[in-house]
Amino acid sequence: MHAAIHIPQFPIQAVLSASDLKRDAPIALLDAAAAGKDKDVVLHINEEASRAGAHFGMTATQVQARCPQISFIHRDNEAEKAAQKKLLECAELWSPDFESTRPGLCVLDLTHVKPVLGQEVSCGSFIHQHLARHRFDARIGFANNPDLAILAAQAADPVLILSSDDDAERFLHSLPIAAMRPSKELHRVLTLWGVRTLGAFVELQRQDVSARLGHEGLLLWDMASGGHARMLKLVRPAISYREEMELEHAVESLEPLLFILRRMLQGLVGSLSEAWLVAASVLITLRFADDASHQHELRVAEPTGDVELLFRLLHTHLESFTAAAPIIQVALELKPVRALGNQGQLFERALRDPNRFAETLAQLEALVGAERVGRARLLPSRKTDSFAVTGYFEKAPSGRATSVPDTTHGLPLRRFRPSRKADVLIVDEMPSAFYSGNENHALIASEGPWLLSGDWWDAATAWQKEVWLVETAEGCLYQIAKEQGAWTVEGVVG
Amino acid sequence: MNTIQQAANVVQLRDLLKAKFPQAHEVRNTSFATSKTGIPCLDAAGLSAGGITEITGANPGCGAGLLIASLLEQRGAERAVTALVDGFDAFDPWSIKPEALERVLWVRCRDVQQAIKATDLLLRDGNATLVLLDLQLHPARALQGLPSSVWHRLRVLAEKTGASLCVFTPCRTVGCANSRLLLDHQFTLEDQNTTRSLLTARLKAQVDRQKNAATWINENLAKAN
Repeated sequence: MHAAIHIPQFPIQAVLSASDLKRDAPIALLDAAAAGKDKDVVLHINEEASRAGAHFGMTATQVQARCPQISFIHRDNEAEKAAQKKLLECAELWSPDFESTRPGLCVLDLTHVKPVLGQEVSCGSFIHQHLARHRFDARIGFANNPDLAILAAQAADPVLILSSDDDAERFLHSLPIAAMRPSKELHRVLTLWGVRTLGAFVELQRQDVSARLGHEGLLLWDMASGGHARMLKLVRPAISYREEMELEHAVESLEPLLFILRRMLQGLVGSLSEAWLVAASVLITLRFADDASHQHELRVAEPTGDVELLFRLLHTHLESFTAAAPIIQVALELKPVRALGNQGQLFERALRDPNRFAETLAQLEALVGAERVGRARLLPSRKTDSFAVTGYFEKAPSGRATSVPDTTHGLPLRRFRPSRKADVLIVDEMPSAFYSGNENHALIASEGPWLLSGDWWDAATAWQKEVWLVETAEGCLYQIAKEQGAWTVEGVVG
Repeated sequence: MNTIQQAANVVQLRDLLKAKFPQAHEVRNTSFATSKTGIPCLDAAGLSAGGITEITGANPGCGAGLLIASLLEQRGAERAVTALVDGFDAFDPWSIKPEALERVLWVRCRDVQQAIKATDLLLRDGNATLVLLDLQLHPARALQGLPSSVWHRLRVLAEKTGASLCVFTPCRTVGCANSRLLLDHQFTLEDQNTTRSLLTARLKAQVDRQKNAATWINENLAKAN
């Protein structure tokens, strides 16, 4: 046995449940986004407004002309989310196996809920009363399969039970085709054929329906003839591996903090291992007495359930961290993943111990700075130093490497960062000597200029320079550049 | 007679200590396995696995950059991690192939001390099979102030993990280096039009020191006597 709980005109009921508007007054729900223009379009109307002549798709002005006393409300996504949550909470009271089919509709699997069997009427009434307390007017349908239960709920007032096949057949026979929500095209075809009820539709041969209306028609026919059992997409609560602790006494040093973190880690990793999961990353959040906070995600190279390893990661990170105020709250969250069942790339592993490598990377980051350790990624620009240093375990964006031209011909450049200021002596439009710092170099040959520019479309970042390759009398090659009238030595070549 | 008895006591004492502290008496790797890099001048000196190779060049453009770029590109086929500890923050990523960049862990240091610490961490870690420590653009006086124990420590760490450490310096600095190469190549502007592989093959260098198993044994025998 399955039960479906349906809240008709869900967007209107969701808004009304959170407001003081009277339900027996004519109400129209407007959706400004649907109009995409200045005029608001009516998305839903209640029965009172419908009786007054308003209908879906009218503009607010048109509705007001027909029903001057109408109240307008706007669609509220947050209210709908809250209403759906209440609906699912109600479903959870009856069965752990339920499906959130769509907003305003959920289906419960009551097969294993013995107390309900035979007591569907009282159960339906209870659900109706429960939701009425939250200002929802719900419809409840009971049937042997989920889709039939949904149809029963849509036709219920407020409870409809289709306990036997005969009940289902009688119910479906008189149900209009529109109740099955066919596509516009299919509905139009069936209307042209004069098929208006499900009873008329099932009189058609299944093979003929399949040949003429395709897969959708076949599904509709199967539904109209009693439906079939399908698996529910069960709602399972998201389990969060997070622990939070408000500290009675503010923590000012590392030792007590590490003590707390170790205990939290042990608990969280224990919960993970019970679910056969391991941690892929650790998110630490610290809140300080001056209302500031610090949050950092520490990624683990190879997901692990090793408390010591995760603790060392935290320790390394916190060792290099200082704060202006003491810590008053600590939160730790582990990102769970399934442990690998097999070891990929057994003979191609580049790292002996990925987790230790990740730890070393964290230590290196603490030593030289996070943005100074990792892989270099070339950026699609010829500006000097157009690259980014990303974390070693971060995946490269696809296609980036192919867009970068090959500049590896000849000798490599070794940069001076920042470029050194220089005075260059020009003879016959060629550099003949340069003076930089305390060094004076006479030049015996030079190549250039190569004119480079970029970002010309943006005045703020536009750049252009001329680059020369020069050979000194000492037998050394340098790259010098002139930008905005000033000369610099960009680096040494070779 | 006394001398023989004394020697026997010393041997017994050594055996006793060896049994009690086996870790302190681990047999040092004296095989000096050298790996071939395909770079003629470097192969002549031998890139020591589990040891230090010092590459020295006083001239900033003596070919150290070319050697670094070639080493970073050469190791690609092995899928091993190569770490470049850039002591002068001089490495230009545009100078090597993008696919080689994927395997390079680049550590951009601000000074010599930072570079030494970073190398220490990487050698302790043991995941990188080749660590390049580039100090060549630093003035010689900045390196001469380093105590020799620094290099001994790095060498012991390299021995333990089997990693190769290449140190690029402006002058002879690493006293305990297994091999040393002196670079004194002078490039001309025409070399910019030559392929990288040809430039690497032509690179002139002098092998200043090359320790192999035989020399190691001889040195130790001499010390023992």
